[in-house]
Amino acid sequence: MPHKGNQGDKTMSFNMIITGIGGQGVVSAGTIIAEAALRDGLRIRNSDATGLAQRGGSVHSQIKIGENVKSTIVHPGTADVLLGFEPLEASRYAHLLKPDGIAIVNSKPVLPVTVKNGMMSYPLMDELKQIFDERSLKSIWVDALEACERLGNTRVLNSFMIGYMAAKAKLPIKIETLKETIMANVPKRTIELNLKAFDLGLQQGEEE
Amino acid sequence: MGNNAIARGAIEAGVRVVAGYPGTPSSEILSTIARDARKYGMHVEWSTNEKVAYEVAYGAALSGVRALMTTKHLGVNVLSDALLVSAYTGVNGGLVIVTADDIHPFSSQNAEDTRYYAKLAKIPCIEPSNVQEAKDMIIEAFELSEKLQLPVLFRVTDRICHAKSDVVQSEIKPSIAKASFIKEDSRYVMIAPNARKRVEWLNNQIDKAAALSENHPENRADYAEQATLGVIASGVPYEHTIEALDVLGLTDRVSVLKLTFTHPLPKQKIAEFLRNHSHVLVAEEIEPIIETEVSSIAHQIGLDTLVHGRLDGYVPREHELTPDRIGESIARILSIDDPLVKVPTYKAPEVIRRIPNLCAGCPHAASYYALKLARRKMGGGGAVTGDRGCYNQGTNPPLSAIDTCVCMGASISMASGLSHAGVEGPIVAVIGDSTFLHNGVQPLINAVHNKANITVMILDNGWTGMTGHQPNPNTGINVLGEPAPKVSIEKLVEACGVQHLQVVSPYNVDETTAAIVSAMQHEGPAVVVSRQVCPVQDHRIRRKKGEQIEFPTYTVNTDQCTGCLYCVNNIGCPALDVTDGKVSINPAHCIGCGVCAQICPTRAIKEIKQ
Ligand SMILES: Cc1ncc(C[n+]2csc(CCOP(=O)(O)OP(=O)(O)O)c2C)c(N)n1
Repeated sequence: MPHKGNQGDKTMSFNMIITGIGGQGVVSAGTIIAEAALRDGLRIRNSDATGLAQRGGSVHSQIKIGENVKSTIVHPGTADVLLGFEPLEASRYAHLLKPDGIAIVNSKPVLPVTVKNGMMSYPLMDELKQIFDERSLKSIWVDALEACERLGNTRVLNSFMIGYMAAKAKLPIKIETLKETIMANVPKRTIELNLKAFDLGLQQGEEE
Repeated sequence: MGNNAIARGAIEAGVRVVAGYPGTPSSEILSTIARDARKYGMHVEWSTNEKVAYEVAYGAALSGVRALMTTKHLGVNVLSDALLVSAYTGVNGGLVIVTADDIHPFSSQNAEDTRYYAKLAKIPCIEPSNVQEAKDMIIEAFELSEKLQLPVLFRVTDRICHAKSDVVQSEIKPSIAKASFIKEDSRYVMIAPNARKRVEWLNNQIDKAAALSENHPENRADYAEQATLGVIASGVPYEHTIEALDVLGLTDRVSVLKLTFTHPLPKQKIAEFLRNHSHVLVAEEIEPIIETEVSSIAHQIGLDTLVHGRLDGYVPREHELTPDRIGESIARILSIDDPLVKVPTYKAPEVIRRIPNLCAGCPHAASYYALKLARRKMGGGGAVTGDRGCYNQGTNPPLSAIDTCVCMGASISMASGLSHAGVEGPIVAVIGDSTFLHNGVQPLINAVHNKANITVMILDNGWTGMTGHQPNPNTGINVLGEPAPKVSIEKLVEACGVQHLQVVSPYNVDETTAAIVSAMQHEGPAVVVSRQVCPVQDHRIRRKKGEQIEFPTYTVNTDQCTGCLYCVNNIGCPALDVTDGKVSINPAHCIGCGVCAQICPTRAIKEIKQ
């Protein structure tokens, strides 16, 4: 069931991190979630690390929601949700999750050029899952790319992942607000497609 | 975003002239202000470099209006010549330099603490600790600048610039100041006899600033009862400290002195804080500037309070601070006297590093390929001095195309040095268009005048790409999006006295290779302008205009592909995928530059004719 939201709770605090690589929409997903929280009357902090985003580097966005938020950095062991757009980049940040936190990860890897040409090797999927398992952390893996391909556009990966997360995790934000914020943040001509991706993610998350 | 908040604050303060040069993490401050330039009658410009920008803002401030200059930390090095003398003349309208220091560094050649410049120039320094404060305090920085007639250094870092938070806005107060310049030679003409008199004035002003710092409400101590440890924290580390104490459940056991007006420091407040604790931890980014002064205050008043920080190893010597790093330091200090305090450790998983690359179809990758061929044709040897811009990603494997990357413009002068020293083989400098206009022209004039035997490749993609595609004098538009005269790089190069100049498109591999070979063969400085607009930016602009982006589609004939990976290894294009040892082209990434098709040894890559 979609969560009702936590509005008005003064002690509520919710931390999350979104990880992925440049071009996957990590930063805009962070903006959407932070802005949606604002629209629901919550206080936020959000900080991005985009170093070389455009050039296939690691990117992450940290979002903190709550009345008493201070530092923009998520303290290790305090994240409620890790939303991973890419398996390697998700596992890199496993230590941020709190014991009862949850990782929601797109299982399709994006290979760096140095892996394609055999210079480096990409970890096996089981090794990446193991990183969560050995810390007794819950992780859910979903082939989000395949789902977006069904919609005919892989550029809506982030909306799908937000929808999927909304079904799987207890967010302090209303579903309707998330949708409104997506509408306000994506280019006009892609609004419909992004909402479809969000709904598909939500539906798939509730069914799986 | 913090940068938007700083922009908003400057507009609220009625700033009239704004100048800067792009640099991460500062760039969005100026581009945000530019959006409102017409509405509030502000002049906003991307200048050719930071020194120019600072002098523009400084000139404006002499006339009595408020002026703002924005830069990343490296730009403060560039503008420092002007800064140190401008402190002698002082200003009339408020003049604020926002310096966004990449302290880690996340995306710069070095990590630097520009607060040293505030001490060096004897000007006030303000360090906000969060986004709201950044917006509020920049207004105060203008007032402070006017009160003291000094430029003010407003120092922020990544975690403010690129952080987002809820922010309460204030009213915009349109500026009513009327610009006028009143001649005052003893103040503005800094010949030595005049300058000698201004030394005393400047020292007086910075003493006045010290009194203001002492009473500043954001230089404030929160004492915890019976605390043995106090943390002195400035800027973002203040918020990290509060968070760390909260996570560790130590809020009641540790006092905190928050410092925001950090040059000059409030010495009395610090002394009192020292007197009340047996241990003091200093959390600052990134050099032990406050820590050193705190130690010296403790020494001066004869206290045996122990001062901990970056110098005695209680805080890691390098890099940005985070709540967990500060928390660990706090716990370590408390555990000296209280064995019940546990020192937490957090271990990040160890996984392979993701090496960034140039974008699919990046013209820089094509230029590098041609350069590699040309060097081989010339018998190898020599060196490639690189410069700052997207093209320094060319250092990463598989390209490994450049041998140096130091600072803006250094490629050309360093190449000259290598050539004059007698290094054998072709010496090539590689520099982007924005970097060439920033600080590359003088090195080229110098190379011509002193007969350096070098090849200079100007990688002209029409934009200041690396920092987020800002326009520069070679783009044809200005920061407001208005058409602006376009500098002619060819005429500029010719006017420098270069005898051998060629302009090529890097997407034409043979032509570019031949041009580089011919430049290498030329005795004396030769220039190759490798010109191709940045496709990422070009497509973005055209898509915004509603244009359909069309380009040729390429495919790999799997029967012909031998899986030699020559294409992947020599252009490193992210649109090239490898499955079961054979190459394929990912249509979602390919932009149809056709370079892979030109270089495939078995001609397995073909254009699909529609
Ligand atoms: C003194 C200084 N100012 C600013 C920067 C930030 N910076 C890095 S590269 C660059 C410009 C890149 O533009 P260009 O040379 O045109 O190359 P492109 O990235 O477009 O390939 C800038 C502004 C810096 N490193 N040093």
